[in-house]
Amino acid sequence: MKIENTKAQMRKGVLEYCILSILSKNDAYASDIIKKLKEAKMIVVEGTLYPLLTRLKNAGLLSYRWEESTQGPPRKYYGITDTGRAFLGELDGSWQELVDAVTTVKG
Amino acid sequence: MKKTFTINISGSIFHIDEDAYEKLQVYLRSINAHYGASEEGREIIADIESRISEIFNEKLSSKDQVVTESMIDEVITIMGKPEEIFETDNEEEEVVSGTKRSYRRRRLFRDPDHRVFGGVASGLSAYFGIDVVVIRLIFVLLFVFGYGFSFLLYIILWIVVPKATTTAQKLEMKGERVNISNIEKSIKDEYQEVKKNFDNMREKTGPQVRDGFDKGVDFAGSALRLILKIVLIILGLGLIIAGFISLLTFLGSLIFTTTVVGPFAGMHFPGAFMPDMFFTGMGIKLFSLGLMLVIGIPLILLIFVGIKLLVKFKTNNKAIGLTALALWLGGIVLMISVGLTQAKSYISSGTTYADTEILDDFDGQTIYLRSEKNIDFNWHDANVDLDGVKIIVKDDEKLVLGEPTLDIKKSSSDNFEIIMKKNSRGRTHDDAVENAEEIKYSWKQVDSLLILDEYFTLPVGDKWRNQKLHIILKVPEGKAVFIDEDVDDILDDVKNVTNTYDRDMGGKKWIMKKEGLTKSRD
Repeated sequence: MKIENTKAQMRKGVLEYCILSILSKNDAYASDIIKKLKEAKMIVVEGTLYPLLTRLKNAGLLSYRWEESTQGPPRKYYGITDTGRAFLGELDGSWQELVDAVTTVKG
Repeated sequence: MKKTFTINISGSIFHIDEDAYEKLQVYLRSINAHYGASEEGREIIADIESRISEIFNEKLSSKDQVVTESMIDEVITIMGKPEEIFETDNEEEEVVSGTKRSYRRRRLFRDPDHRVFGGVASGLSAYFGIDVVVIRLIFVLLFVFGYGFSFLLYIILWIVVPKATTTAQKLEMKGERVNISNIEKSIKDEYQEVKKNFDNMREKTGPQVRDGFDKGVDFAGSALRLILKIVLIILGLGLIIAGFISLLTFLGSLIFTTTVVGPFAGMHFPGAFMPDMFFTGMGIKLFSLGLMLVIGIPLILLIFVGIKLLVKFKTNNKAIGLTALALWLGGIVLMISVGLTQAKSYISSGTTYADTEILDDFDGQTIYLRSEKNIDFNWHDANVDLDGVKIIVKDDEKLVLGEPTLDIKKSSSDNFEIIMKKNSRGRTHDDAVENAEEIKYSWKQVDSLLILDEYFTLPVGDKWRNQKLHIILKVPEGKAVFIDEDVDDILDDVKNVTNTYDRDMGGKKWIMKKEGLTKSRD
């Protein structure tokens, strides 16, 4: 069992949760989201973000609009939808359960 | 000094040197291959490219006007290596019912890790989910029975089907399962690939000859793969239909002895389907069972493979394959062992000699040999037609008919004589002699006319035991015999002075001289 794999598995589940949380506060560009994640020491490469964002959008949890940019092609400006908020609420509950469970097990 | 290319990413133009170009291509190809040509996949790819284009813009300035390899390295560090990006793909997405957003549809690759020659069979196995042994078996069978067709097919596949080199490709090879609803989507995807490659090819006009060639091969490969997909579907249907009809035909022929339906209509199947004329007792049933297994099992397998090519369902291929093989071998063993045990009935050979009969006197020096058709049938009724032996069904009964052989020798007396030699096989010598005596044959003499029956028969119910009838006609010296055209068929190496072949002796008069039979001049 490679430790990297296990770590990756843990991160996988949480990433979507983090994205939804960040967007629940403010709309943002993909690069903003990355910055916030880096600030939070959530190590992730930018490439991972795009597939996730697109999937969340296709699932109706996010939406975007195009914004012109001086630095090149237009960029997607993401925001959370109502469905997304509801989804996030459930994830919050689930996350809390997990944290409680793990704390109990370790304690 | 380095060569540069001009590329377009997300609508922006960039100059890029060749090393960087190569690296970027490999990177993008890998990502493209993974996310595929689905709508969602293309959106993801577009986002990534857009971001790459932004990064380029940040790095370029009046001082650095060209994208270099080190910039590509930075891009890969920022965006992540392909494996790192794919890590976060959710597997649950593939199991969702209804609208499946699967970006890991299955694509046909050659599998280099499980190959014997070029990985063609193992690639096909991964794509269809059929055990690789079955695929290889089909290739071998097609080779043996198809005049080497599968050899050509294999070579074509080897050239056309790409090798799965990167891990991304290997994943794709075993990706999502293919069934009818996906086949349509899958064909659409392949079509998109072809279109994309074609569009790429059009862009690549100019001095990049090597690249153009690459794209050409890519495009040809994609187009051929599309055609191959369609062919495989037709093949799947064809196998089912062919296998089914053959099975029906075969079963029908067991009952009706002549087939009336399907591609083999009107054909006759020789003695194997009338085991009761050759075998005794349980042997008949066992042999028939063995035969049905040997012919039926491969046909059923054909149908099975055909269905699998079209429809996805879980099967334990190993168990099925082994069972089929066991049954088939069992069928062969059955046929062989029945054959061997029955062979006991043929061990001994026994002969009875009928008495020599002296023919009546008649006026004249020449006896006229003629043949009489004593059993009337048309060839359609002859269900077995082995060398000299026919088995026909007349009035609901099976009759064994045989052609006698005729030899002409010199008589030691002044008289014409006729000798009947009957021969047969049997379990023991006595049994063989008994069988021989059962041979029924008649002839008659009317003055100078000697009329021989065309066939000898066996009593109804007697089995075939290689019965033979040999007739010897003895002609006195100085007398002659006229052999009718019809009769020369049954002549058996009749010695004559001019060494004429039996077939040429008919329609002529032959005088028995001191030296032997000599052709008469009149």
